[in-house]
Amino acid sequence: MRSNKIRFVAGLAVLGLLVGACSEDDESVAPTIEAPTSEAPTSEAPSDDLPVQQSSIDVSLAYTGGPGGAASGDPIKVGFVNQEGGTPAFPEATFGIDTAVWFINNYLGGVGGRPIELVKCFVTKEEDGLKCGQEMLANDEVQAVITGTMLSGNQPLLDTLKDKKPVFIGNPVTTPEFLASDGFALTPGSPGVVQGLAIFAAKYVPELEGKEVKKVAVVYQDNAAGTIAFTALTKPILEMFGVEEVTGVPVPDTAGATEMATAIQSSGAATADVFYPLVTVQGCIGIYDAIKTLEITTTVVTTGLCFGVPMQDHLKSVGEEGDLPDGWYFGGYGFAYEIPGNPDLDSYIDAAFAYAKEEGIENPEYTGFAGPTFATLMTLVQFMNGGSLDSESLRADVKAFVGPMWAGVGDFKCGGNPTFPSLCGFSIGIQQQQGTEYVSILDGYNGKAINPVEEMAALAG
Amino acid sequence: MEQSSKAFVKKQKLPVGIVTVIALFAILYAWDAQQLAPMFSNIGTGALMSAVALGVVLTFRGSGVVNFANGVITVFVAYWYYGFKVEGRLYVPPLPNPFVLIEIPVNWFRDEGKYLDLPNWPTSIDLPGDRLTTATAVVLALVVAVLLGLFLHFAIFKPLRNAPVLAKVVTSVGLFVVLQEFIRIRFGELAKTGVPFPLPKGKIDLPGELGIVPKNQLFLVIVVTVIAVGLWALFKFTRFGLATRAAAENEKGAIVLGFSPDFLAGANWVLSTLIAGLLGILASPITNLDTITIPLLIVPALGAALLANFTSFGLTVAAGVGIAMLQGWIQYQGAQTWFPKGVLPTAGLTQALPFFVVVVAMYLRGKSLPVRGSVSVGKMPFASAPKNVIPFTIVASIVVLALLFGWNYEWRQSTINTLVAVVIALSLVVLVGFVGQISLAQMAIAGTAGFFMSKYFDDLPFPLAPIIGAFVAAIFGVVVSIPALRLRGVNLAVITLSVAVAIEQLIFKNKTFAGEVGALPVKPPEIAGKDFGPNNTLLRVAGLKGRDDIPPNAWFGVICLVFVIILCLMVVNVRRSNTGRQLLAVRSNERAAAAVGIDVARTKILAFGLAAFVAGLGGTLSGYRFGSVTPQYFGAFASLTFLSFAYLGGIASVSGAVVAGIVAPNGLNFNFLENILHLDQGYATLIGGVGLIITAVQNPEGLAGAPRLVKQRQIDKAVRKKAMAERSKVEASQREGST
Repeated sequence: MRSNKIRFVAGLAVLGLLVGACSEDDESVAPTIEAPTSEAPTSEAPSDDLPVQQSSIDVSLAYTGGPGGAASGDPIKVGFVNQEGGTPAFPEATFGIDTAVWFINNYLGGVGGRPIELVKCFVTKEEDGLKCGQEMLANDEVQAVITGTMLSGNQPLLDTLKDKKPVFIGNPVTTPEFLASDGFALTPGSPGVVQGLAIFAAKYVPELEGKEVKKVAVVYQDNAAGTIAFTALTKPILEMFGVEEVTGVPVPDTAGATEMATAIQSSGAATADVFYPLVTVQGCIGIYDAIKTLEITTTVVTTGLCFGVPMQDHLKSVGEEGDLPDGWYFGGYGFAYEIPGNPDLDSYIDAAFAYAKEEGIENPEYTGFAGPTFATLMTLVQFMNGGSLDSESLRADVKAFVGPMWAGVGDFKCGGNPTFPSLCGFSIGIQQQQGTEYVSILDGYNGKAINPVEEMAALAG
Repeated sequence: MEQSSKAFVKKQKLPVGIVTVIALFAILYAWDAQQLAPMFSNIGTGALMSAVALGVVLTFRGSGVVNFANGVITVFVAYWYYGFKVEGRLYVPPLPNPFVLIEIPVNWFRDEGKYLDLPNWPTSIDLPGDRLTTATAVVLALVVAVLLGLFLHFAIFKPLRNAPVLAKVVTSVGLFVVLQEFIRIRFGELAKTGVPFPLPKGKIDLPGELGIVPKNQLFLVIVVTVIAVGLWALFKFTRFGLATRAAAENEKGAIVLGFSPDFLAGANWVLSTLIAGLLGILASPITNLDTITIPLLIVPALGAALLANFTSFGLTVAAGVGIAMLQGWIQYQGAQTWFPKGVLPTAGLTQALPFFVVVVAMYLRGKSLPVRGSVSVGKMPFASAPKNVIPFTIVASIVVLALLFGWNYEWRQSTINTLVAVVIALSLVVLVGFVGQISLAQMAIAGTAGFFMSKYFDDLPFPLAPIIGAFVAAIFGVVVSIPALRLRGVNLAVITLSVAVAIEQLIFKNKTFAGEVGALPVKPPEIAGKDFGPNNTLLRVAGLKGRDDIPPNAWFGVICLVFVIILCLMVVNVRRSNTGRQLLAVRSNERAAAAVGIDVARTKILAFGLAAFVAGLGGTLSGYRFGSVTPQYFGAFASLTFLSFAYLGGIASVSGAVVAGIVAPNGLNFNFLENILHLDQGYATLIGGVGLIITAVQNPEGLAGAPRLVKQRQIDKAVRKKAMAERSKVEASQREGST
């Protein structure tokens, strides 16, 4: 009997020790954020006592309308939900919003002098969206929720919070987000970028490359976002703009170079006029390797999802000089991380590097979904500094918001998109990697950004 | 004439096979030469698939274990190589921290953000220099592979040598979960792409319009082929190989001849992890290192191993490469205008291909599918007759009602999650616990009910809609039972896993059926015109509602509870009835059951249908819970996880299903770990996996059966003690008599 008791106690201790393995420091997460090979664009040296440039603070203060300086007192809580902790994951969105909180609290005076505090919740699967929605709803101090990038759990999250707390969608990529009635995306979202790129491929590539575009090959990821992007947002637009043959090949989310080579061949990319990969950065690396191996020289048009430190590192490891594959066209939200000249974006990059330095993050992934998430919180803080601190007034503010949007381009109106009511932005920008240079083609820098909604309306007459 | 041609084909298998393949390629080339190009550019995936399959064959021949975790072992070793080569770090496995015994009680009384955080083991150790050379990194990673192989053998599978197949399957599933979480916790969640390794560069141009073969992929195929030839020689010409083959045929005979099955099993485990790890390292530049891509290769790898009869190394490699080439071909066809994309999802078809391969293998192999010999086959978990059912039901219901109406939304949600999990675990109790049929497709079958209900029966009144949905699931269950009539054990597990993949890819991900959004909506249940859905938190019945207005609605939990009570009582009655005794008889010995007049086929079909019906109800409840059904929730690997937790709870009893629901993901136990002990969900899963392995090794009856097992051991001990005492007495009296 005594030995049983000893076993019981030993069992409890083992359970405790096992649990203890779980409370380790998070040092091991570090490798997920990797080293950039390029310097952030800077226009002036930081002053001696500030880790960020005064111009960055000035530009940002003008946008948020805060009192400036360090914030103090009781924090104002904002919900933040992102997909992390599994595969796929988007930790760069969290980096973007963490940068925003640090910047706003230390230099922009928070909200009327009070600091912002995030209430974070992460999803890896569908049921987590429900759980996060419940947590946000249960927290009375949270009046609005920002999302990073989510492929799973959107529907239950949006359903749970609908008409209770507005959701500011940082990077809309799935249908429930596009169609959300109480969700607001302060960008054109992936529909804007994907449609805009399709229009660019069909209408502008012929002008720029001096060739007809009659055949387009697309490789897209076999998930809800990828399928919608191809079937509803790419193929019909390309056909509307006169492309005769559009071939789409789905690939698994986790496809590497070998699967990509097969998919590229199946799509007929070698003989197409434009090749349009709709994949994330890991997929893009596989696409790049496969294209090199297959010696395909077709014009490549793709999204800003191909940006990022992993791509830069990979190109470096294979001896390329540029940060992005040479000759590829990229579509994004009007301005580009790689091109200085937009004060908003330059301020963000300045703040991102300063924050990373202070936090000891050696290799910050500041591109991709990080920027729009940063911009979303900056805009929310603008509303809050205007006096809107509860769900109702924040909802009213965003509905009335017509820009200018932080680092955005073109017109802005929530509910203005006839197909996707949650998308408040319209225009997108196109840039191209030319050797080691990343150059503006049709974007906010030259005032030629593409507005897909207008383009389609014009074509329809 | 016909017989002589059959005999010729049987004698000249290899040349006939080669000629058939060449003829097939010639036909395809004549039809459309371009369709062959995507096949040749996918051989690298085939090489990786073959390596995983070779490991599966080795461990099966060496120890009788079909290792579902071999894919994750492949990527596990590759990650260590990444750590050594790219980061110059040695990652320390998550070790238990003794200080946690102080932290937990202290943090219990502290607020969030003010937790006591005492020192812990380091997560990694920086190695001298910035990065290791490729050769050093490879050697170190392979040392890890060897150590892993030894650990798996000595710590896990050696104690399971005489355990039933179910215990081995479940343990390898537990291993899958543990290694996956280990990787995620230590190496981060982002995929590592293009990990450096000096593979050959460039391509070889094939004649005509056949396209190209990338040299790096060809290199992998050559490596895996050389390994297969080496293994063939090892097994054919060496004493070790002959001994392993002998043990695989007849373990008792091998022991009589003086071979140690333990040594053979250990050596084969090491060989398996070494091969898997080596190919993982070599493939790391051209594939993504993450916790999904390579681990999922286990499904086609099992297909390849099955085609090779779990015996032939050469055939395993040929089948692996062949499956990958076939996937490339399907992808090409899927892009053609004639292909019925609306009906057949291209990506899904390539993923579901292993299912068809397994079906073909079954057809070709017929009754000769392998059943490995062993010294003894352990008993299945004891299926005790339920006692004190009514008092237990009343007490459990009171507890559930208290959680639903007295606690906050977190407990309410985890209670509902537990109730849904209990229903699915009950289905596994019927099928696996009572009849011994290992199904790895139960979540997929549950999903069919949810998807069909949403698609076709959503307008029917509650509870008619979920019941009809469950009947649809029952039909799927009966269809799945057809192979079970001639298969059992691990073979059945393999085919049901393939079925799960096929259902997920061809039905749940079929855009025509399930729409392009990736989810089908499920309307909330209505009773007497009132919305009982999880979001209607304002619902009051008899003046009662949940403690707060945060979803889920407590009354939705009551609906789940009613379902659970009815189904539990139904399963209890099945166990007690004549049917239950027939199920157990079939589980114990099919031939003996048939000899006493039990219709084995009918019994199996009944069990599959009943289990699928129960699982289907779980699937519909799950749909109501989220307001939608998605392929992710009902995916193939969800079935593996659920089987594991059902086993952990106790696979052969209704009380085991209840415990399984409590420990299942997002159930009450997870809520306790996350919100009371403040444990990250990933760590909770890791602990669940470790617990599963320990349970499988130490206590096959699961947590619910632990008290009975402890009691039984005490009785056995007392009996032994008494016998010893009596023996001593007899000996003493004999001594006295002789003096």
